[in-house]
Amino acid sequence: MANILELTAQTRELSGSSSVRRMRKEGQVPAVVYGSKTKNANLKVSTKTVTQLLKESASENVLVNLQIDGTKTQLALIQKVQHDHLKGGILHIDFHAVDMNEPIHATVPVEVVGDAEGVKAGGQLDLMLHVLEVHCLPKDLPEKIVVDVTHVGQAQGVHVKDLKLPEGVSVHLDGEVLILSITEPRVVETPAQAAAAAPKAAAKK
Amino acid sequence: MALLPSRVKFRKSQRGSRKGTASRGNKLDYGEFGLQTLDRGWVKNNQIEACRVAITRFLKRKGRVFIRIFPHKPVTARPPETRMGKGKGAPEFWVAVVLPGHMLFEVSGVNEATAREACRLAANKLGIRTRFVSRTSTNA
Repeated sequence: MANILELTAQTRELSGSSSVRRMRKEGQVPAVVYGSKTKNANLKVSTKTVTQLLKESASENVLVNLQIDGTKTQLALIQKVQHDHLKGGILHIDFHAVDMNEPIHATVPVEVVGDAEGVKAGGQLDLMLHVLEVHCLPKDLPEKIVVDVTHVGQAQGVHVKDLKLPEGVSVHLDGEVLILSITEPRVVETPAQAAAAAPKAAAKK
Repeated sequence: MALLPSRVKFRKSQRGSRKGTASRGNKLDYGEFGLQTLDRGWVKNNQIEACRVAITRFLKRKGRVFIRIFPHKPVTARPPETRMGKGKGAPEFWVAVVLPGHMLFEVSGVNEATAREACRLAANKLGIRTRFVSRTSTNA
């Protein structure tokens, strides 16, 4: 069951770069809510609240219960968060109004757990997909996809078909797509090779 | 071997613009940790190679390194003590144009402390200000 967080928002009349810049200085983040069954609306939310909310969640695609002006309540998925890529602050948020009975697409982070056999034997774990796009009902939206790598050996991998997804969640990727792999260690110099190289080095001197 | 294009349409180029900030290549795409530039400038191909060597040597065959920039731009220079004129100089080296926010290198498969130290060693090879970023810090 997805964790639905509470968030208060106010409608905003002003738009345009100078207005939203002023708004950001005052501690508000401009936002928008849209959906197939709802009318688009410009909103503003508290920077402090939304930063704390995103900090506590595993990903940015979380479900929130938007309380707009204290009168209307709307279930929404945080569709996109625009960041200032230098300062790190939040510039804008897109809320996607969703219905509890209609499936949604969302990106969910992949979390690797366990000590892989292949890594213990000297292999290197390469995570190819850091996030997965899932298709599910809002109530089934997982916080993260956990991949247990305990039994993955060297030169083996975990594919999409190997994932144990929660009930009601599907991934729109081919089953053969590789999520992570454990590669064999690169050639390590053996003592015999080192001994063979030593006389050559001495001869050069 | 330092990076350079295998084939180019024109041997010499003008200096070009370095205005603005990076709108692309500014996020962690491959690794868990990265080195992001805060300045604008040209990064020479031998600097990129020096960074790569510094990171890979520190990681000691563990982890993976991703180089996110490529020196596409040829830079010409004139021989010393030459009189003015006689055309533009010969191509001397290659540079990557970097803008504030560009992700220069990414590292994966190692812990944060190791990646941070490897990136610090790489940053010492560059003449621009950089910062260390991770997926948890950027929530990417």
